[in-house]
Amino acid sequence: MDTLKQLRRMGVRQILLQALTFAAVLASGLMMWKALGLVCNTESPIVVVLSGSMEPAFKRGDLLFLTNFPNEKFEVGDITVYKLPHQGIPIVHRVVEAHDECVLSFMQDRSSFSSTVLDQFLLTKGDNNAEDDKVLYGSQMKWLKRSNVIGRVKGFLPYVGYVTIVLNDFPQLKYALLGGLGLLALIQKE
Amino acid sequence: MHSTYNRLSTILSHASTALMVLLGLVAATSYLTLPSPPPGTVDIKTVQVYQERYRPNEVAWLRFDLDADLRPLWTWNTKQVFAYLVVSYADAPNGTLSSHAPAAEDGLGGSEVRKAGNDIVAWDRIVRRQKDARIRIEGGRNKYPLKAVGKKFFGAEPFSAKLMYNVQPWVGLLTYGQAGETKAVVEWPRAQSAMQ
Repeated sequence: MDTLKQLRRMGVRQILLQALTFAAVLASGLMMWKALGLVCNTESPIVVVLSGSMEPAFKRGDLLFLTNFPNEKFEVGDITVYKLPHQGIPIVHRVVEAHDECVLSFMQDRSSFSSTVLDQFLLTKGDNNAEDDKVLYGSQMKWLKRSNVIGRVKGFLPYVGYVTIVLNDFPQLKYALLGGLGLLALIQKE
Repeated sequence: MHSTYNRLSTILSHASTALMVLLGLVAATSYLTLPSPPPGTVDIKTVQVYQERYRPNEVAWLRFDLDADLRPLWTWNTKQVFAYLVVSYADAPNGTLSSHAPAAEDGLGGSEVRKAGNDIVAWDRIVRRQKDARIRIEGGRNKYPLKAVGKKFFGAEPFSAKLMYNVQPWVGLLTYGQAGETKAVVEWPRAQSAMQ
């Protein structure tokens, strides 16, 4: 009742202004995410670890920071995040085999040549798994290609991502939080 | 003005900012003061190549000696070290993975050769404590079979092996380095008669 009374006292103009502020906050958040993605050249520069296949290094709920620069090839030992075409969930595993198909272009007198990597054929494995990911890839795919990889793990921040796991496991909590924040933004006078 | 809610949110935001700055400083200092281990040794003792049964490709088994001291890698921000032995070799020209066209003259008199570079992890170990970071292995065998993607090892260029490490921090940037390498390249032998 109190909040309703407060809303009425604020008037339409004030409410609209508050809604605009709220929208600006959301938009700037999205902009920061997209800008980070642009700088790191990846569709999702930050991912949350969802499984225990890289334990004890990465646990469920840890945050990983990714980059995917086009001129950097993937090396064995790199930890990649990849998405399989038939599966929506990104997987965090380490590259254990890298086969680079290169083309060596010789100069006319064969004295020098330049080498370009045409494509990379990768095999990954979770540090905590006994077997490599051949089974995960399925019968259609023998190797992971660059195009399947979202990025390589560069940085690590523990625990912080657990919030999103909780919010995904309990969607009611997500709506309650979103609604509460929205309401707060509307009625708070700043 | 100074409601409980206000006070709480101020404290929370201040605390989280302070925490983030602190974590940033930890990550930055540990990245700037990266230790490097003394060079170790990698020795390939024997190489045996077998033809896999019912499959077209060959498989190689190694015997190797490793000697490396990764203890200097432990700082206050080291959670664990992933040590791994990488076998690297190049396939014979044009004996590659995909079905691209073979070498072709490009009309200008120059020519192109397609080649595959291969890096395979033969052995790895997760080291979680500093006292376990002295790696000394004699006559070790590869944990993972080395499978020839170009079907055969014989004819491919000789291989080298190097011991690499990846330091995984409590917070911050992942770092990589090399802790040893074979002194000379090793030739691939012919496949022995099928076994297993």
